[in-house]
Amino acid sequence: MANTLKNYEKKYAALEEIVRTLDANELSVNDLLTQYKKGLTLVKECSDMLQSVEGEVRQIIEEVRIGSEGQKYFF
Amino acid sequence: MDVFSITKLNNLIKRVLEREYVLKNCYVAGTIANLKRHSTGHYYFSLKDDDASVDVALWAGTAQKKGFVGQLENGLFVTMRATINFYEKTGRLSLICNDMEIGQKSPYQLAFEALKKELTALGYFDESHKQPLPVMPTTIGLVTSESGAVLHDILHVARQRNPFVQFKLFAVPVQGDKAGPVIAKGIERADADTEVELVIVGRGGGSMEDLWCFNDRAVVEAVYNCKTPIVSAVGHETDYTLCDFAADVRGATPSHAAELTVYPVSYLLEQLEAKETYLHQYMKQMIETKKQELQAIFNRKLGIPALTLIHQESSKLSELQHRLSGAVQQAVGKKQNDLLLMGQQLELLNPLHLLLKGYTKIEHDGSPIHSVTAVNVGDTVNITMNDGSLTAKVEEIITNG
Repeated sequence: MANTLKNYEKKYAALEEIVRTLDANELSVNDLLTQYKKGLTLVKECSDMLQSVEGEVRQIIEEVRIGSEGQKYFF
Repeated sequence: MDVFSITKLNNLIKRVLEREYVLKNCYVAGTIANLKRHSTGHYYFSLKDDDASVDVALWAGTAQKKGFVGQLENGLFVTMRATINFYEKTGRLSLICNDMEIGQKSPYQLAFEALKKELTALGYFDESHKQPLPVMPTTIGLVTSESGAVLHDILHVARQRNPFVQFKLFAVPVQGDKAGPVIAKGIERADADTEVELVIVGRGGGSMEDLWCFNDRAVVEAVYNCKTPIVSAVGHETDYTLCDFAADVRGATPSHAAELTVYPVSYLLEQLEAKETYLHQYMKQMIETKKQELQAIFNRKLGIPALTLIHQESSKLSELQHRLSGAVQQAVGKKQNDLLLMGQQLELLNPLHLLLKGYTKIEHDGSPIHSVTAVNVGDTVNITMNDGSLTAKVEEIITNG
């Protein structure tokens, strides 16, 4: 999870940089397409990461909830 | 020698007694004891003196007519007119009371009341002096006769309730003139015994005379001064002695005293079970509460913040995605715009436009002519116009300036 988050931060920073260069309009048409595609890939990856983390968090919450009912006492 | 049947014997006795006319209507004096009133209203009691006693019946009708209802009590000294009655079926002899003069109280009763009054004034019977009994004494001192039924009764009841309780016997005589001081010594010995946690002093049922030693001042003082909690169980339920009044608790009978003092093992087990159940429930409840608290803390401090963070991150990401699309569209639009401008500029530079306006392109030997010096008079030049071309000859050259 820590690794995932670190990766996420990197990717997010890269995405921000792409948006910034696109905003600044410093690119050739060719680069524009390349960077755009790269940006979209980064968005997809970041979004997948968030979804995966959210899934894990929800599962943990669910497990904690189950623990209060059916499970045996821990002593 | 004749052998009598019981019927014949009793019949003979009855006839002999009936012949003795003195017994038909005699006067008898004595103290009432063991008074009982039957549900039919008849009274049955003993009439006694120091050495002997006889059964008496007082029929309900006589009692009503002579006004004795509610007047009789144990210890009363009475003189009665009575008839001897022999009941053949059981061979029992009794007096039928025809009339009665309720005289003064017996000397015992008077002595009892006098001592009770005196000791009450001294505070011997004060409730404030009484101490609570230990709930679960393990060693009980018994001050009673070693031969009486009392010992057996108490041990029997105690064993049924709790076989782990130990008894120490401080054997004393429980009847007779000299018994009082010995009983008092017995109580003192039991009190001095460090193992003894509770003392029971008592004896079985009997007449007021039988129980008299328990009204002895020495006994009452010993009971009063006993530091160990003490239970008195003298006689039956209806018998009261000064020893009973001085004790911390009175047992109606010796068996009752055992019930009062011996804590039953079965109760202990029940209580233990109840405590165990309570403990389990308490722990369960405690754990459930803690779990709920933990759940709440987890949700509040971890679960919800984590999801919130993810959602914030998510919306940041989609905003960035939006900006990415916007930026690329803008960038492409800009390029398209540049291209369009470029095309327009290019269009402006198209020579065809000049030709339309009347300008022409002049070439000599395939090269464009930019200066008058590039041709000589007589040269042939090619003139391109909007709708065709001309071949012309240079006739004159005029240089500007």
